[in-house]
Amino acid sequence: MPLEVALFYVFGAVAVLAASAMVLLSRSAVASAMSLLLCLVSLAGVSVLLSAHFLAVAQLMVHGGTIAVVLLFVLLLVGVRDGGLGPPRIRHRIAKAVGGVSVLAGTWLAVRELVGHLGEMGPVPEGYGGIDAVGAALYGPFLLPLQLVGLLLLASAVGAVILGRRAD
Amino acid sequence: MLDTGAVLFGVAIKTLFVFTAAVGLLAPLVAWMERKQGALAQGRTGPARADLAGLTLAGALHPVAGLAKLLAKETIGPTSSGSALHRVAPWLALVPALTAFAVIPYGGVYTFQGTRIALVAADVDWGLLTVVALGGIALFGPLLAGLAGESPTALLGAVRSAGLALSTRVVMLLALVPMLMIYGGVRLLEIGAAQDHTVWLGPWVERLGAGGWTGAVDLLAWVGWPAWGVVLQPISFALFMGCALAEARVVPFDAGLARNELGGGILADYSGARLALFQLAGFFSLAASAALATVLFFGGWTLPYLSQQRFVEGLAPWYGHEVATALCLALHVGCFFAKVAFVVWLLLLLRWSLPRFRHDRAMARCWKTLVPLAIANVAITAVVLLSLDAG
Repeated sequence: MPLEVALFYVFGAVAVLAASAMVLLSRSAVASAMSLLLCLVSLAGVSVLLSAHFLAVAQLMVHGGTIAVVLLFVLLLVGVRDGGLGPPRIRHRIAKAVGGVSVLAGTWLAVRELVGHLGEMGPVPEGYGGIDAVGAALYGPFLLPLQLVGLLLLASAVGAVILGRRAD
Repeated sequence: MLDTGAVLFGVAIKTLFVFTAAVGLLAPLVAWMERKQGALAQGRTGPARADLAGLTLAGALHPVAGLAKLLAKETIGPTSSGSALHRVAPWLALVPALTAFAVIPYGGVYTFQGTRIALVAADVDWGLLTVVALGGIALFGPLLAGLAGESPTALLGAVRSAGLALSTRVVMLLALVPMLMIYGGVRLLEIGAAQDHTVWLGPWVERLGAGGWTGAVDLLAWVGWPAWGVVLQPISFALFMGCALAEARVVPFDAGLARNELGGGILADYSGARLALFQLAGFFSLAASAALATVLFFGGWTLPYLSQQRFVEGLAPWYGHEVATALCLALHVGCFFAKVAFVVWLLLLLRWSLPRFRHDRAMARCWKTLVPLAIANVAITAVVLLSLDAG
């Protein structure tokens, strides 16, 4: 098995199995937020294997370093510490069992499709996944979607400000 | 073309060197300077007791003694389910700060008998972004520390540090954008090498000569300064230094671990080796920020007024190309660490001169003053660069 394929399986297993196991087995909201970070870091590893270096770093910077921190910040403000979920209930267990089985089934289906086909990918073109390529894509064919996403974010920011004002 | 073994050996040597330098030189240096600078600022003698066979070395042994003391102490942690987070938190603060040294170059590119040697452990073409991304991951350390602890002051501290960190991060990212625009890339080796020349006033003042100001022209033609980032973009530099202090959670921005209000804040529940790890993380964070600032704003490893090309070409007739390059390499590495020490001193000067900012006021200043300033700085840089390109 080539090194890239082995690393892909490791990162994939961590991103899918370990991260979802952390969410399902731990009763702490903080641990669940940390499993998101674990998943994002592993996905950045997968991006590096796909030669999408800039995407990997951007993922760590935007999702890992900012969005996951905001998530923890919200947990802090809401005051959820360990054990904040209350006593365990039977419906929690059922939900966990269903979640765990579906993750395992989905993983099994995906791996069954993948086995033997990994490593078939051809060489990537020069500069693929670098900053220049991503920038050219964002300001070329994807210019309109990018601007629309910006508009959406602006609208949500304005909405958040208005909602925050009303709560005062 | 080198074979894989030689490349791996080179990477291993460079990694070993830069981490040894970071752990064995920069961290104790920052720890010592922090104490000594504080003593100077407050008119005290500062650390002067710890000695080795009678040698005190101006208190330079105190960081070692302090570390040994903390390691020898019992580590007390919560017994609840937060104990795993409590254990992980210091590592999450320490490891990213240390990893940043892998992508920060401590020297340029040198050629020995056709072999190219780049003095950076991981020569990646997205180096600057990696350092920034690692800084973002390091934010999780203090946050988790506050969440895992059981004291309410730790939680309050975590809320404060998270708010401050998120606000200053935006400023830091915006402060770095003009540097990317000026240097046209995020490859730290190229950013450093781009500052390896001098801007002379000569060509600019020739116009004065036509107006009969010959004496002034002769004088001004001798005036020049290194083309360092700090000269080209002083606003970015000032913003970056402030954000570097916030990232290391030292005094003006240490509302999250204020000793007199929160009893240590996020670190209230920490003791022994884990507290030592957190302190080390702070020192590494300062040192990494200083190293990044050196590469971005102080020409990295380059010598002022003497470019690598002139140095090697000047010495090559006497000593040969190889020896001249080796001399240049040694001087550059020394120059880099000297500059890092200078930036650390500058950061600590700020740290010991400013009082602690109240966290809500610091955040308000950040969003209402510094973010607009940083955005305006980006816009002005863009206009200037475009007009220079057009003209």
